[in-house]
Order: sequence, then C-alpha cells, then structure tokens
Amino acid sequence: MALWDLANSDCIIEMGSNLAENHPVGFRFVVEAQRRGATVIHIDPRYTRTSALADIYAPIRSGSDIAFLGGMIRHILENDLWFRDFALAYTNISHIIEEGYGDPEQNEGLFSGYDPVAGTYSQDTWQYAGKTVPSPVAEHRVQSQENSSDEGAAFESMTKSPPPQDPTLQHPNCVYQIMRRHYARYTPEMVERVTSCPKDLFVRITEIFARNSGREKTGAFTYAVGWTHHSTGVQIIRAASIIQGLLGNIGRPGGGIMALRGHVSIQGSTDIPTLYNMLPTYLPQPNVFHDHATVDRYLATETPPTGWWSNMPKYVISLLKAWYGEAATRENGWGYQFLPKLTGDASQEPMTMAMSDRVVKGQFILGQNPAVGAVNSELVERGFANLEWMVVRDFAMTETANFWQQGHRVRKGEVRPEEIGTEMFFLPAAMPGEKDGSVTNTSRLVQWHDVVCEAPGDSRSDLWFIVHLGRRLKELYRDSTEPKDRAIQALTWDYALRGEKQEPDAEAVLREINGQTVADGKQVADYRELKDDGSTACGGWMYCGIFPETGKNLSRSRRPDGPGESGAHLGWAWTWPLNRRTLYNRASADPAGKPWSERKKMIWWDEAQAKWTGNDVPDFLADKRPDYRPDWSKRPHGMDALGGDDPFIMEADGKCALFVPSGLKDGPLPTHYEPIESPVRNPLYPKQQRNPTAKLWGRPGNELHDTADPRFPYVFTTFRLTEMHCGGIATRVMPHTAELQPEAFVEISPELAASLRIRHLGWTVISTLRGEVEVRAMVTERLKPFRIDGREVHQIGMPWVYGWQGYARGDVANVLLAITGDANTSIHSTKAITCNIRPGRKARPDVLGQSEART
Amino acid sequence: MSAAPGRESGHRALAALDIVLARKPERDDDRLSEATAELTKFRDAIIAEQRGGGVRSANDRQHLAHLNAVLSVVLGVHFPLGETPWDELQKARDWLSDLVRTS
Repeated sequence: MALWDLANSDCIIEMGSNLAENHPVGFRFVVEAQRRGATVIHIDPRYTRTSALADIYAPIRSGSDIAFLGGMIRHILENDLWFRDFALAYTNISHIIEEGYGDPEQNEGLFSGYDPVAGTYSQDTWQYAGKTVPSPVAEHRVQSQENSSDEGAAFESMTKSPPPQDPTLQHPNCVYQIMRRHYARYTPEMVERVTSCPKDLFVRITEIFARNSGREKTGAFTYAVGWTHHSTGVQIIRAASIIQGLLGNIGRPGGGIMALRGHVSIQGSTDIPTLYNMLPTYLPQPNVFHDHATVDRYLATETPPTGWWSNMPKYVISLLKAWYGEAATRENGWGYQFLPKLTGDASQEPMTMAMSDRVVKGQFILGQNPAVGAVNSELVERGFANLEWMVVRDFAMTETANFWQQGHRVRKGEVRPEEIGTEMFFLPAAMPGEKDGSVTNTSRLVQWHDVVCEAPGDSRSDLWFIVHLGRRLKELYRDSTEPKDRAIQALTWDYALRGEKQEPDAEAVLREINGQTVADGKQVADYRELKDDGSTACGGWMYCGIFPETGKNLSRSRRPDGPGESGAHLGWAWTWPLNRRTLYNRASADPAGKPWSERKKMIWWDEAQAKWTGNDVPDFLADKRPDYRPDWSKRPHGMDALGGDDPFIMEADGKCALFVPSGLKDGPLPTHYEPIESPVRNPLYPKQQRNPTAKLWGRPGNELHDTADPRFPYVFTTFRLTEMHCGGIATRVMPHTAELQPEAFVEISPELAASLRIRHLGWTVISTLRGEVEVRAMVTERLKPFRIDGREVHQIGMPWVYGWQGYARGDVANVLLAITGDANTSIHSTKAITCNIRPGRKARPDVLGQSEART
Repeated sequence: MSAAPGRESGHRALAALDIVLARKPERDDDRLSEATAELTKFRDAIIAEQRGGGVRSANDRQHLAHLNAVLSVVLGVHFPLGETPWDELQKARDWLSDLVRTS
C-alpha cells in the first residue's frame, strides 16, 4: 500500500513501530486517518509519542507479539468476525493439507517434519494434499532445496488440477480447521498471561479492528523492526497477514501491512540488493549445493510453473544480458557461470564471525556504521582488528573508522592501537544533496533527486567510488588469462563520466536497470516486453518502465492529485512495478469484478471495454475476465493456471496464503515461542521454549543467557530517537540535533528504580554475558512492570544510536547483544534479550580517560 | 615441489574435519571454528609465499584455488543455508587430504 493510503484506513494498529517518533513524515497520514474518524491503536512495550497520539494504547512485553496476534486470529475465527466472502474466495482457508500434517498442539510445540539434530524442518507434510507447492520466488527462497532433486518436476503437480478444497470448511485438515485447532489455546486469558495486556483491552482492540474491516471498511497494520528483529520476526509479520487475509484488508484502499523502513532507501537496497542471497529484484542467487550447475538447470529448478513467477527466465536472462552484454551468449548460458554461487549463509552475522576467524581479509563499509549498529559490538571490533584492510566511506568520522584508536577493547586496555594491524582507509563521502540519484522508500516509491551543490574537497559520491573501483579492477584484470577473472572482464561497465571529477551519469544506471532491447538500445517500457532469448537486457525487471524512453525518467515526476481526483497520486514519482500503488489490487473487487463497496473501490472489471480499470494500475492481466477458469485438461502453465478471481498472482495458486505450505523454515503457521533469551518459561509450550530453528552460534564472546537466569532477570530492548538518524553519526556531529538528545540513557520504570535504588539521571551499569555499558537512568512512567504468567517482569529500554564520536555521546547499546538469527532471514534479535542493571559506574576505568558519556 | 608453507595447519584442519564428520549430523561449532582457523593459516601461508615470488607453476596457483574451495565448503557447513551439505564436506575433506599429501 502507498504510505498516503493509510489516510483511507478506518482503523490502524501500530505495532512493532514507534511511527510518530521514527517515521514522523509518514505519521501525518495516520493523523489524517484519525481526523477522518479512524481509530488508531498503539501496541508496544513502551509508552511513546505514538501511544500518546493513539486512541488506544496497549502494553505488551517485548517478544510476545505472536501470542497477541494469534489471540486475535482465534477471536476472529471463533466469533465469526472474518470477511467470509473475501477469505473464502481469495485465501487458502478451504485448502486441504496433507494427512501427515502435525501441529504444535499435538506435538509439544513442534510442527511435523522436524529434525532435532539438524534443527530444521522438512516441508513435505505441510503441502496441499497431493501437491508440491513452490514458494513464491523471493528474498530467501534459495535457502532450501525445495525441489532440486527432480528439476522442478514435482511442482508440475500444480498444473494438473486446482489444490483440493472444501468450501464447507468441514474437512478436518482444511486450513480453517487447522487454524482453529492451532490457535484454540490463544484465549484472551492466555494472551494476558503471555503478553501482560489486560484481556478486556485485548478483546476490545480485536473487535474494533474487525468491526472496521469488511465491505465498507478497511484496516491497516504498521510495523518496523520492533517486529522483524526477533527470532520469530518473519512469523510475526505472517500473523498480521493472516489477520488481514481473514478480514479482507489486502489489495484494498486503506488496507494492508505497512512495512516502515529504517531510512529513506532501505527498500531500494533490498530491490537492487546489497544482500548476499539474491540478484536484483528478488531473483534467487544460485547455490553451488543446489541443482544449479547450469543456467538451464537453475531455471528448471527455481521457476514455478504456475503464476506470474513462471516468467522468471525472462528476467534472469535479461539481467545477465544487462550485466555481461555481448559476453552473454546462448552458447555460454548467457554468462551464468560468471555469477558467484552461494555455499552458505553470508549474511552479516556469519561474516562477523568469519572476520574474527581471519577468513575475510578486507572490507568496504559504505553507508553503515557497524561498530554502533551491529549486534555484539565488541565481537565486531575483534573482527575488524583481524582484517588486513578496511575502507570506510562517510562524511564524518565514525566509530567504525576509528575503532582501532578509540574502540571498546582499546579503552578497556585489552589492546593498544599499535597492536591492531588493520590498514584503514577513511574516504570522504558526498552527502545526499551533493549527488544525483534515486531513493526507493517504504511504499516502493522511487523518487529522483538532483545534485544541489558540489561536494567539498575530495568528497565523492558512492556511485563515483563504485564505478571508478570497477574501472580500475577491469583494468587490473584486463590481460588475465585466468578463467576466474572472466567475470570481471565480461562485465559491462561503460557508464558515461562527466566533468572534472569524472562523476558517472546516475541516470545511465537507472536506464540500465530499466532495460532496453539489445538490437537497437531502445528503452523497454514494460516488463511484459522482456524476453528469454537474449534480445532484451534489464538490470531489475520490477523497475522496468521507470525510464520508458530517452529523456523520460518517471521518478522525476512530481504531480500530486488535486481535489476531485482519486488520491492515488499516480503522477507523483514512480512505484514498482509499473507504477502500481497497491499490490494485489484485484482483491479490491469481488470475484465477479465489482468493487466490494463504492466507498472502498479501487479497480474493477469494465465489461464494455473488456478490461480492468480504476484508480490504480491493475495488478492483474488487464484483459483477463473475472469468470476465466483454467482448463485443467490442457495442463495450464503460467497465468493460464490462475482463475480470473485469483488476485494473488505471485503465489502458485493465486491465493493469499493463510497457511504456508512452502518457503518458511520455521513452520506453516505463526506460533508463540519465547525470545532466545527470556526471563519466563513459555506458557504455551513448556517443552519448546524458543523457536527450534533459530540460528544460534556458540563461541566465546557470544554466550547466551539461560531461560530465567537469575543473574539476568530483566527484559532489555533497544530503540531509536527522532533526533538521531539510524546509527546516529549524521546527527551526533550536528550541534543542532546533538543538543536535543545530548547523551545515551536507559528508560526504567519507577517501580524498578525504587527496588534497585536507582535515581533519575543517576548512573547505571547494564550487563550481559557479552558486555556492559554505563548510562544515566531515565526513570519514567512510560515503562510499567509486566505481569507474566503470574509474576512481575520488568523491562528496560535503551537507544542504540550512540557511540564515542560527535557531540552527543554515549555507550553503545549493541555491546550487550548476542549474534543470533531468525531462521528465515538471519536477522538478529535486538528487541527482547535479558540483562541485569545496577546503580553506579563500571568498575573498569577507561584507559583513554574519555568515557563515551559526557560527565 | 617442496613442502607447502602452512602444511601443518592443513593437517590440523584435516583432523578437526575428521572429528566433525564423525559426529555428523550433529554440528560441532568448536571443531568447525578450529578447522576454519587452520585452513585460513594454511591459505595465508601459501599467499605469503606466492606474494614473495614463490609461485612456480599454474599448479601452485591451483593449490590456492582448491584450498579456497575447501574453506568455502567448511563455512557452508558451519553457516548452512537450509540443509547442511555433509556430502560435500566429505568431498572437501578428501580434497584437503590430497592437498596436504601432495603439497
């Protein structure tokens, strides 16, 4: 959904986000929704400005979100509050699952297919009966060999018939009945026991949200890393998607789940990724251990035969043509062998350990400050110290760039700067206003910005650095005869350079991403024109159409809708794909193609014109009739296998997946597990304390706390501040923002402060097995003790944005955290760990005599 | 050719991998870390020699490429994406054995 579409919501649940403080620009649309009569609800461990501006605030303990959301699912199902016409038609609620499926309710907290030694699941028993369902190609698909043993043959089962269904919902293994059993114990009483949210408040919230959903009304969730940074992060978001599927809040005006991104172009860095495990626009990175030896085998294994992703070969081959140009030929598999192949998890957490083990010899760090922002900061610094070289580019000195001089280990006296052998290169970087380029924000909205002023001195844009680095590498390897160097030699790298500084033309990069026909270099206007025969080149198929012809960069467009227009603002910048503002918007019309209501219309079938039309770009084949049905006798593939009433076209069966048969590593349904570190036993599954598939890496310096360890009795969470941007350095070096939040602090409830004799603004020391920090106490009623499973549990919170550089300083909160990972994404847990806190100062003096905090 | 630099590290890595393989399917993080550290020393010693002018043939360069491949597989077992590639680790172990024996 578009950020501004929040204004069309009738009820907004903000959960896992502090929208007012951390996304203040987007928050205005919540304010607008409220002004129009929407109910705004904030559910969070801390009472913040978002809470203060909400109509209802509900406190919950960090890491108990699935218990709350699971309770909502149960309440909606058991009280028949769901939007039956929507969910029956558009979700897999009536699909029948394999007989061998086993639920955590039967199996002490585990789904069927669990291998306790490997700590992984087989998904065989989660499938639709008689089918093997490919997961949508997406960010993390490549982590499992779903079907590589038979080159995708099993997925062909999806072309033989529709998945078995029982529209009466009576079959014991239909998704509806499975969900009812799965969430049966998530009663309001259980929700209170696990989360501490009073049961009456929980029921009130659920009923308000359900009441504001249906034909005439829609509701939205907003979330940020308060949901993702958990060992169950993906499943928390999944729980919200189940609620939205049941209530009909997907693909409709004011309905959806708004993922609030951390900074302006994080969405863009996922689309055209800086991630290790995918190629641009969500194509899977090949894996050396999968059946990916050739491009044909890779495509045969990974391409779902049904649904939109059946077009994947066109996107892959066009990408290879964009990258390798004339060196990509049919004979050499379009240059597929130039691509590096994965062998394992190369996300930030394992790479931190690989640095410590001296596997990694050098690192470039651009736009990041991991000495502050990465978990287990001291382990990160140890890794830095084992590198041969490190390049940091930023516009001000960062903690990462001077870890060797003022880092934690130096200040603790464990090591002296001259004993650290890492050769450091600190290069000045241009600021946003000093360079051309685009940002892709929360709503997939791509907005161009032009250079405003020249960067001073030797400062250069990141684009300049990467392009010139590439040019030098190509020059270095120009005469090599080694096969391994062919990838660099083959790479097309002919971006035009301008002016004295030889700045690359940023629009040339966007044109390459957009794509062109190889023969004449003409820009491609639509990804449906891409081919798998090498005649088109495209650097990112989802961005195709952003630069449809020479001189026409649609991300420059700045025409907002005026009064009387739809409010979709299709003339404001450009949204991928094809300037479509709401994904799956076919669901905004009923199965017959009519809007569910006049008030909530978005797109509809125009019988006279025989096409879909409306206020948004249809996310559907424009001329596919609502009454189209696949002819199963012909073994339909691609979009032919989806009906005219199957809106979820990226799914193999076109349905919203309430139950996920493939693609998730930790279960087909969200289940409450306690955080990896927790002061309480799991009230729902006493024999299964935490996510059994969570990634844990035991090593010295990264020890974990046992459950209910009396040495670490408090829940610890981290958060951001309005005045401090991300890792903080950009705002800590600016006097006008630094003075607004001059130093680090810890929020602590008056009750806990009294019991520990901690006074407001007094010093405290917070400790874990990973490290300790000292900060002043902010004793505040914004935090309240929780009552969990009959006992009092205290939670404290600390901003993670401080370090030893800049005017505003303070201890690095991430010193306290361990390196762990969600099974699906490897994302770390920053929102719910355990700790201790005491009044006073650290025992060990700072050998540099310059405490991070101002004294 | 003469004994490769860091060969002792190669032997120690081999011993660690044998323990890892004997304990499979249980993942032995400590032994995997040890194998990684020893392989890294082996690799760095070869690199140092090559940078010092010690490369005499394409075969020498091939040693380094093979060692890097072994290291990649060990990391793939230590930090797997989904299923742990045990069969490939066995192959990598045998490759390392050849490297240590022939270098």
